[in-house]
Amino acid sequence: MKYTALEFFFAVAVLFHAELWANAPQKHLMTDPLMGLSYDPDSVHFDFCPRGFDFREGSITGKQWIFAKCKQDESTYYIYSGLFKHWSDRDEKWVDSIMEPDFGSVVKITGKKFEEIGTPDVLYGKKAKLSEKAGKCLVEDAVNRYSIAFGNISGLQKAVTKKGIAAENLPKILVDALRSGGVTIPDKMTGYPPEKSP
Amino acid sequence: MHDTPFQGPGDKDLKRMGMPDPWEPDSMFKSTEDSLVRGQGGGGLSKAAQETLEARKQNQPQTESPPETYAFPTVEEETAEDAVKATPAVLSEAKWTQPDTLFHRDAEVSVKLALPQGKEHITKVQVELFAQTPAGPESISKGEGWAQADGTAVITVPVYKPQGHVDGPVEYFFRIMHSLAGMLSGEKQSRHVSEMALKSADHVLVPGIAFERESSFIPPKGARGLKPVEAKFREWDKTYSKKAQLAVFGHADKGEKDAKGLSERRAHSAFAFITQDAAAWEKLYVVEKWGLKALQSLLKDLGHYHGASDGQDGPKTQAGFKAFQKGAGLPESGTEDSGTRKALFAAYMKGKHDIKIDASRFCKVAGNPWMGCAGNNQVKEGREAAPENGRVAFILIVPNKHFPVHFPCRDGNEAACQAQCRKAGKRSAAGIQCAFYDELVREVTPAAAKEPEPPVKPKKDIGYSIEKAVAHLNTNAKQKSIHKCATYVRQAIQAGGGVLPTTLSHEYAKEYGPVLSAMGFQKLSTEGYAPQKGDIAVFQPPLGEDAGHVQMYNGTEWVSDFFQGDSPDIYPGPAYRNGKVNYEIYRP
Repeated sequence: MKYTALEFFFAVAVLFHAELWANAPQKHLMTDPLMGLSYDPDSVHFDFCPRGFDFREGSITGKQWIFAKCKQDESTYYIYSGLFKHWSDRDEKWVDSIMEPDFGSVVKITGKKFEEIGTPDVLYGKKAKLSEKAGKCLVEDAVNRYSIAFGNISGLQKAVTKKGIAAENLPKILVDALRSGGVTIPDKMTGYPPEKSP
Repeated sequence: MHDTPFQGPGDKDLKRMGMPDPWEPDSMFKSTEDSLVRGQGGGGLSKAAQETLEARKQNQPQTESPPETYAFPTVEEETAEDAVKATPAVLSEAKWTQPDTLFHRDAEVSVKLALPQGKEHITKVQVELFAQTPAGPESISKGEGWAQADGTAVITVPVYKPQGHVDGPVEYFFRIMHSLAGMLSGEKQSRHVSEMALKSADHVLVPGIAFERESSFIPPKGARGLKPVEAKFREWDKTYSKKAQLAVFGHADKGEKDAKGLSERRAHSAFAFITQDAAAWEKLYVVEKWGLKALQSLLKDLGHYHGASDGQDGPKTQAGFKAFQKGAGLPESGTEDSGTRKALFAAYMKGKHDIKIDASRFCKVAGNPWMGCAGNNQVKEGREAAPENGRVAFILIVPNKHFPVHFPCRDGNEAACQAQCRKAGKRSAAGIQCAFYDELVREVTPAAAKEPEPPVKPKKDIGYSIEKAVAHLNTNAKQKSIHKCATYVRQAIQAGGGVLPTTLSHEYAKEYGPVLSAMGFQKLSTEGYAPQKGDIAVFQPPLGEDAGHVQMYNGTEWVSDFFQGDSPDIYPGPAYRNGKVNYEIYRP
């Protein structure tokens, strides 16, 4: 069967388009490490982490964000998190196509010393690994960053309400900071009006 | 089984002697427990039976009327007087026909029946199954069969768990009855049953369905409420490699007529909606006379009608029908007919709400993939009518190798419901009466469980060392997650001597539930749960994520690939905590 030049170019164009489509980056949702808000990182913008901030070889995607930052005395505290490749337990290898949000991490940097404090659950103060002062400073900065990332306080409020977050499920210092920042949070999950049917 | 052929006492004989009705298991065992259960008495005969035989020898007059309470209707018109006069009928060689059985499956009992001349037609034999419980024998189920030409009768009885039983083996025995031969107790043929025939994975109530009284029509609000069922099913389907099955249970509220039929129609209606069976809805429309009001609400939902759904025909309704018919390529009559209704139902199911689960994925009862619980299992107790009682509940089941299971439910027959509901006692939730339903719901909604935690199996059962597993995890875990929770916990299990089954997937952390069950770990209730060293928690993922999480308790804190001691609860982070994701606890 003979092909005309037009048919040939058409076929090439189709293949080229299909290749572009196949290679288009897949969209992955991110979850913030303080409240568990799920969001599209292309729409909600937190500051990117500096290079070399993380040591987890193999799983890094290059996408990590700072959710809180605070200077206390000689040290700077960060709460950061990111999207990481999925680790297949069965095959024992990283799977590039699946991305999972991290639990996040609280770090303390003093000069050149990089200290891992734990996940953001340290804000509950259960083990006193983070001073109350540093914790308070971090969550106040977090509220500021969150309101900028979600557009404004109203945008943050909308995300919090949509998720149905209640004070009973957050560290107290974070609840205080959110309420001081103008975000309304009921004490219990039942404090929200029922979600309207679509 | 008795060693010698036994001619047991007739019902009248027992009653005349002041004994309770043998067809009433409770009363029977109150007075004859020793003789029936432990098989005391000469030659395998109970004391009562011996007395009865003595009475027969003396030809005492038979004056009493038949007992009023019979659990089984007697087909034959034979009287006890005839039985006494005739050559004795004999039951013998009673035995289980299968090597073993499982909870919620049928068991078969066979027996030889020898009948006297002229009575060969009285072949019906009845079997009652009992379970030995700490409180004494409990009547479990009954069945009946007919002796064949060679005198052998095979009778099927379903094996349910006794009331309140949570875990461990149960000892069962049977009793065989014949109207002429009397009873033959099979206490020496006892057997133990310890395994469930099914594993139910989840329980989804559909709160969005608001049925009107006496109706199975699903209005638009209810249709939206069915969407989560599909989402949940897809989620479990993914988790269990397309092995999940759906069981649909319909219910009726207090005071609704034909509760059994209505509950079945509601389940059928929801099933038809999910499988996009418009023809089934057309039948329900006709049977229940849904009327114009229902059709108006559908036209409105599809955007063809803007008036009130009041059942009143008028220009707006006719215009609505015409608009729909035009779009569907039907004759524009402006009125309803069967073809228009079917097309309307199809558009409502497929075009508008588009929920679709294949019919083959539903558990069947008597050929139908839905069940009706009549007015049982109400979520709101009290005398007042409550629409939430007239609901449809979906239960997701992950069957094991023994599937399909025996559902005690029966279409159009409320006796099966009543048999299950007679097992009174503590239930998992208010208003739940049916033992089978309760067990399913309790198993799949641990929060509602009120039973004590099952005893921990000895470590030797699965050849597993908790200490070694925990030590391995403590040695290797980090301060923060490195996204390898499943691998770290698995390696700890293996260090403890656990061997993973090769047939089950463990690509994701969330898949570890079935893996641990297969290894012999015991699933615990999460209500009132207190962690013990070596316990493993398996989390489903928060919304938008795939992998889930798995963690082990080291005696002080939860550990996965990182130490989680900062968490205020069992959840590994805020996305799990605020999402209140489902989790399961397994104990070695």
